[in-house]
Parts: sequence; structure tokens; C-alpha cells
Amino acid sequence: MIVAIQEYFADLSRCVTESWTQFWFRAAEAKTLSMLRIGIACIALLYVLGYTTDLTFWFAADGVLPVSRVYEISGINDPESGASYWSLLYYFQDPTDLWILHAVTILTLLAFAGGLFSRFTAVASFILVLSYAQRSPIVLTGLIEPILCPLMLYLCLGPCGAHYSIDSVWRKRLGKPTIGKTYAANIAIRLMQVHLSMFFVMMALSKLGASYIWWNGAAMWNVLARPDSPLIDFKFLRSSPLVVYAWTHAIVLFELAYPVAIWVRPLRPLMIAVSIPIWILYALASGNWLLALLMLVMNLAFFTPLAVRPPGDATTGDENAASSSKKIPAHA
Amino acid sequence: MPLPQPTTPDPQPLSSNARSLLSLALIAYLFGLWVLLSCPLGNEYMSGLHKRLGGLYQAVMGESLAISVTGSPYYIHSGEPFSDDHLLVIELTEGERAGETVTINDQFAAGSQAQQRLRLLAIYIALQVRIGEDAPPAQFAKSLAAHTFQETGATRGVFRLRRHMFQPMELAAGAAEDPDAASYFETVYEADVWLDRDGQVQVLKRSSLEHVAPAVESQS
Repeated sequence: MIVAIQEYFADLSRCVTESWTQFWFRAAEAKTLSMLRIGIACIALLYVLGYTTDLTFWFAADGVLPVSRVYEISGINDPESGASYWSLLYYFQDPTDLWILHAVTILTLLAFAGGLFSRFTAVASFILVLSYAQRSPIVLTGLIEPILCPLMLYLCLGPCGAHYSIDSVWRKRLGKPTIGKTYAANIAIRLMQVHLSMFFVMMALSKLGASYIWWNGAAMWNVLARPDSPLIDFKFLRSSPLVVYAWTHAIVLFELAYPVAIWVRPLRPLMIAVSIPIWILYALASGNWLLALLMLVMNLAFFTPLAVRPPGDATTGDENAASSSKKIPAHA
Repeated sequence: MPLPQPTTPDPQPLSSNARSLLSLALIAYLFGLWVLLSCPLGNEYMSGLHKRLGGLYQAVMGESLAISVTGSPYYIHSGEPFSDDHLLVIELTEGERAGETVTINDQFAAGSQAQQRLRLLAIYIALQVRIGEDAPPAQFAKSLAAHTFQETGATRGVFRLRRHMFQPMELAAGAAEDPDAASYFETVYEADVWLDRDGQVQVLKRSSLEHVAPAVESQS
């Protein structure tokens, strides 16, 4: 009996160790990471560009949220609170200085999206976007900042400019080899996948824990009937309450299913396909379009580009069939 | 035929020590991440241990890397009044545009992030009012009034934070069909705002006139 228990735990230990090693410590190509660089950088660019109309309204010394008020609200100067928020924007309060920093941020993000000096612009973009996110914590922080900032941090960990970038074109012109498989690329992608899955779990649990309205199906009516938030007036659904209830249940079910089903290879394309209408409708009904866009882009984290056959490579029908079987997205 | 571009060789397998160190770092990070992401459910959902761990990781990771979701819960609508839309309004009573009502939320394009931020601010002020805090609403009333006075040339007005309730799915008999009807508005906070002789904005909360909002800072 004792031997059987020992064997069980030995097997369990071996199995967990092998799975963990295979999951985290496998060298991977940086193509997915490079695609995510473009997508996330574009979202970050939209996020920062969104401040162009109200930058000084909030952040100038005579604006609505001067630094002293942010310190007071977030408890930055309070030794008891010990808050550790920080932002470059705390040091820029003059409107001219703010505009200069804003322009620098936009240019940095454009360079990052294009893959110019990717290693440097990845870190610079992260610090700059974090500075916007942290400028007014608690008051102006929505749901986009806590997911966008860590994703930008993960991009700094791997060679996100290895493909689809100005850096890669440059490297090619200089005759340098393309960046192949790396451990850092795999770890960065895995962190994104795990983070996203945890986020989905909490989105679902939070809805179910917040109120009974996510159980009785009324929640989506509360969202879409708000007079000022939705991008499209969905109140015509008043005559079809069952559709509203189904919509509410579909969102909760999707958020519960996504973090599990996305890891199952046959279900992955289905989850990605379902996520498209879910997030588009979410954006239209809630007005939170940037978060929806980011979530759609993050589907790429579970996608590996199809293998590109070298030109002129003649293949038979059987070889075609064999190669198409290899085109299943990896990361399983 | 062009030769395919060479790629860098595959990396050497990681040593056991490197894997162990990386694993430790990953486990610590992922554990902290889960603690932080699970905090926004609220205090009543957290054990004493969860609260302590949340406080620890909040300071180490949550605040410095903007990972924490504490200030922004995941649900879109909780069914509570503070999840409704709120509007920041100033009714101008003296000056060039006296008699006009300025809705500050409408100063930015509909659906823009700027408008969303104003909505977040309005909800934050509403929360402060509901928990009985007087200072933050007065400070924001002062800043927003200063901005509006500067834009409009007005010198006195009434600042209001109004909750814009949504229509229920089944309209009761006699309920207004217009979603912008007065019955769908609730004034959460109301204060007189005016420019004093020094050009500073002053605020006096209306519902309790004996209670003058503290003048922590002034806006000219």
C-alpha cells in the first residue's frame, strides 16, 4: 500500500515536472510575439491618442486632476497607505511639457508598432503607457489599463521585433540571420496566455458574484439601456426580453468557457470565432470599445502563423494533405 | 532561385539550475498575479489571508506595474446605482451665458475615451457622496467650475452631479417613454459655485448649507 502511494506521488511529480518544463521551457519562434507586438502597440497607440483631446483638461497644473490631488486620492504621500504608484506624468504639469511628452509617446509607439529598434522601443513604450495609466489611478482607471500594461511588459521579455518589423528588414539587408527559436519568446507568449485566461476567469466570477442580475439575465438590459454609454441604441430589444436574457447568459458562459476551451486545440478556432461577435456586441452595448478591441487582438496569443511553403516547392496531393495537417495552430 | 535567409541556431537546452530559478520566479509571479486579479470581488469575498497577500502584492506588483484591478471591477453593471450613467452639469446663473446649462460630459465626442473618463470621474464622485465624503466632491466641483467659467465667461452657477437612470425593460403604466424625461434623473450632489473677488472659485454644498466644503485648494 505504502509503495503504491509512493509510486503515485513519484509519477505525479514526474508528470508535473515534465509538463511544466514542456510548457514554459520550450524554445519557440517569435512570429506570434511579433504579430502581438503590432496588435498591442496599435491598441496602446489608440489609448494614448485618446488623451489628445483632454490631456491638459486633466493633467495640467490647473486641470481637474493636478498631481497633488492624485497623491491625496491614491495615498502616494501617505506613509500609512504606502502606495507605490509612479508615473512620468507626475513631473510634467506645464501644458507645453505635457504636449511634448505626448508627442514623444505617440512617436515611440509608432516606432514600436513598426518594429524599429524593437528592444528599446518595447521598454520605452511600456514605461510611457504605464505613465498614462498610472497618472490618475483609482479615478480614471478603467478595465483597459490592468490588461494593457502587463501585456506590454510581456512584450519586453521576448524578441518581439524578430519578424514583421523594420528591424527584420534591416537585418536581412545587412545579411544577418533571422532570429530563430528562443526561450524568451515562448515565456512571453505563455505569460500572455496565462494572464489572459486568469483575467477571463475573474471577469466571469466577478459578474456572478457582483449581483443577481448576471444570473437572472437582466444585466445586459442594464448595460444597453444606459442612456449615455452605448454606441448603438439597443433598446428595441425591449420587445424581445428572451434575446436580452440569452445575451447575458452567453457573455457569462463565454467568459467561463474561454479560459478552459482555448487550451483545447480542436475547440480553439471555435472560441476565437465566438469571441468576435461577443466582443463586437459588447463594445457596441457598453461603449467600452477599446477593451473589446484588445480582447479580440489577444486571440492572436493562441495562434501560430501557418507554415509558409518556399516558392517553387512542387508537392503531390498527399504531401499537400500532410502539410495542411501541420497547419493546425500550435501552443497546445 | 533566392536562397532562404539563414536563421540563428536553436538555443542550447536550459540547465537544470536555470530552469529551477526561472520556475521559482514564475510561480511567485503567477501566484501574485492571481491574488491581485482576485481582489476586486470585494472585502466580503476575501479571507484575512487573502487580504494580507493582496496588500503585499498590491504594493510590490499591483501598483507599480498597473496590474491591479482594484479600482475598476470587471463587471460592466453590478445592478447598483453607481453603475448607472452619471452626468456632470453646471447651470450658469451669472455672466455672459447666464441661464445656460453646460453638460461637461458633452464637451468631448460621444463614445470617445475622453467622455468615458468623465463618466468614470462622475461615478467616482457619486461614490464619494454616497459614502458621506464631502471633500473630494467639493474639490472636483471647484476644478470643473473653474474650467467651465473659463470657457464660458460665467461667474456663478450651480454644479450638479446627476444620475441618469435607465428605463426598465417593462415600462410601468404611466412611466415616461422618453429616456431623458426628468423622472429618470436623480441629483446626487448639488453645490453653488462662484468666482470670488480674487478670481478664486468657491463652493458651497446646497443640501447642507451649514456645512461649507473645505477649501483645500483654489482654482483661478
